[in-house]
Amino acid sequence: MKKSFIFGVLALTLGAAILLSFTQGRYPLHLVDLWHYLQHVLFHSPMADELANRIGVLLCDIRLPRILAAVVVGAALSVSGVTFQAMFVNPLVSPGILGVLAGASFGAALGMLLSTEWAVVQVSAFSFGMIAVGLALLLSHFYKGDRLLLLILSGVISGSLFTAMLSIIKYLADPYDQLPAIVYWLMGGFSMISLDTISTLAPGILIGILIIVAFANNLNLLTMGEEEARSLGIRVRTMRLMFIVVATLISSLTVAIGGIIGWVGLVIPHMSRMIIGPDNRVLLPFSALMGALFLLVVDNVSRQVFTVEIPLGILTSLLGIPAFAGVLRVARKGWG
Amino acid sequence: MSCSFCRSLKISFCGFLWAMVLLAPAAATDARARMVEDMTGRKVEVPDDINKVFPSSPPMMYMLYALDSGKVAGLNFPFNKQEHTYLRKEFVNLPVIGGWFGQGQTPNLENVMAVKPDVMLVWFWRKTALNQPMEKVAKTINMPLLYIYLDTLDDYVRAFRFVGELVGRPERGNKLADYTQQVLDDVRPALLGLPEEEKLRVYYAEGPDGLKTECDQSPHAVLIEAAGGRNIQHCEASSAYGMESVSIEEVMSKNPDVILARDHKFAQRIYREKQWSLVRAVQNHRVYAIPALPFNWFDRPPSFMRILGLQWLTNKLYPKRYPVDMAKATHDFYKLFLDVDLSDEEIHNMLNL
Repeated sequence: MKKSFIFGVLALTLGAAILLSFTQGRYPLHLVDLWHYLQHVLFHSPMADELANRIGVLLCDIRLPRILAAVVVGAALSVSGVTFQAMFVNPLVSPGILGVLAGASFGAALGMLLSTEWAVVQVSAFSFGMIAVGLALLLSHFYKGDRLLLLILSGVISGSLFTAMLSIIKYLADPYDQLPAIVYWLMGGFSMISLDTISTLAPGILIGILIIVAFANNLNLLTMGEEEARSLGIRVRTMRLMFIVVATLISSLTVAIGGIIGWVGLVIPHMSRMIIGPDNRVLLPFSALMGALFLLVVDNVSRQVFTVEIPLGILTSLLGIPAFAGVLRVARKGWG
Repeated sequence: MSCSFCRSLKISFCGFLWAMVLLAPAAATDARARMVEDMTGRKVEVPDDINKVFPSSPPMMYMLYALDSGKVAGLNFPFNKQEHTYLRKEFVNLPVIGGWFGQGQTPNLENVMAVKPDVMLVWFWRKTALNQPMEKVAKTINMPLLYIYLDTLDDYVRAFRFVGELVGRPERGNKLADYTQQVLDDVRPALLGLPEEEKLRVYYAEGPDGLKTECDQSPHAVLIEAAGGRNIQHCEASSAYGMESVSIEEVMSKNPDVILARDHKFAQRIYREKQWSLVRAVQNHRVYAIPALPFNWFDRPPSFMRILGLQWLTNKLYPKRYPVDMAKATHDFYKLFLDVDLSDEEIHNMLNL
């Protein structure tokens, strides 16, 4: 009862924040004009063409894609964070644990080095995110022992490998155009976003989130440990692989949309767990909403507080670190 | 672990070092005959004949290239294909020895010594943490280091004369300096009396999204002011590096008259993108892709190409006040500075893009 109340409040807050975000931006847009525009669209009330066009572009082509991107990416990163944390039964794990972010960073940089087409960069980022995790999975199969520990270790190895290769790319990149483009991309942000991009990539993320949420019960069982889960009739290996693939898929897609956005996937799962408890059936959708709200607010700050835009990855870290420090103090309680 | 072997190793190593220290100046003294004052007023002893110069950063290297490409001892970084087109073969094939420009590629001392430079020329933009290591390196390998100012086009006039004199090519240095001075003398009167409110508002778009820019105070955007425009991004650069991110709404609310696009793909795309459709420059079709062969005419790297860039930009902004024949100006500039005879078609492609 109490949980559904909290859920309702959060969903309403997110809805309100989304609506409010449409009114926020560096371009001065008066609420009165917005109201007229709404009437113009809904009831065909008369409005000057030029003004209607201007508001239309601002709302649909500039603000809408960013709002969608922030919501979708925030949700994806926190769901992926919850999944990995539950699967590894470790509160310090983030979506990058198996090397997906390092691989995607390398992929994006490689794309920028070899091509000037933005789509190539996105495809390359996504593919190398998947490849890095594939490599980690492959590595972990070469050794015998605690599977989870080996997975984490392989993830660290794969991540380091792609980080080193990223450095090579940076070194080779032309210092005037390619290198700055790579550096900015790695700081994260939605300045390259367009309606096309988001409408192509968002469905994949949403489907991924739905799949994870649908199997939340199995994730709960995995949290109890390999032996227990097996004794309860779960095919541990298959389930684990499925979660890894889907969680990697959605985090790779976030890199294709907005570069590397840190901390959301680590901090939001913790905050959510403190509020709603560790049951993944509730925690997953809840943290999706939380992540969406967090990133939306941060992006709103990023796109309007200063005349120059602060890269999103910097802001999420700046705001995420104190939150994380606070959460760490009480981390044990949440995992009791 | 103390043993006689270690000690003898130490002693012989020390002896070797001493021998280097004693021998190196001995080898150089006879050739080192004159005292010169560099552009910051430091007194430096340099050899009479300067055959090889080590430029510390790309702007310096390009400037030397225009003056006398044979004097360049080595490259700061390997050139890309596009740059190869208009540069001399023997120049692009020089060994890469690195430089100090904040992007890695820090020189290996032995590589520097291997190409045997007589002096090292450093663009003195302002004193940074990099000056010390550079001076130290110069001292270590016993190479005179001279600071050169290359911030503004007036600096280029002086630098061409100074470096021309230094490396024994005074006529060439004076010729390039005179040309540069002539350009300044033509542009400045043309813009004289341009009322502040008639100055065009310019947005300089960098990055693949066109949403990186430079502050009006930044050395990366000096050409806008020099060509009589007003940079819409009014701020102090947050770092020497520049590339400030702005949001599209910020650009829209400032509504520039002209957009200068660094990324040519972006310049083509901008007319199709709805996000940009409300900006005055886009509506009036005044988005100009900055020519970039063999190096950018505007910035990144800042180079002597700015001398041509100034003519191009002033002409684009105020064609009535500064009605120069850009095709001819481009042809003459490439001939004089780069020793390249451009065909009409090449010029056409370069200017219309």
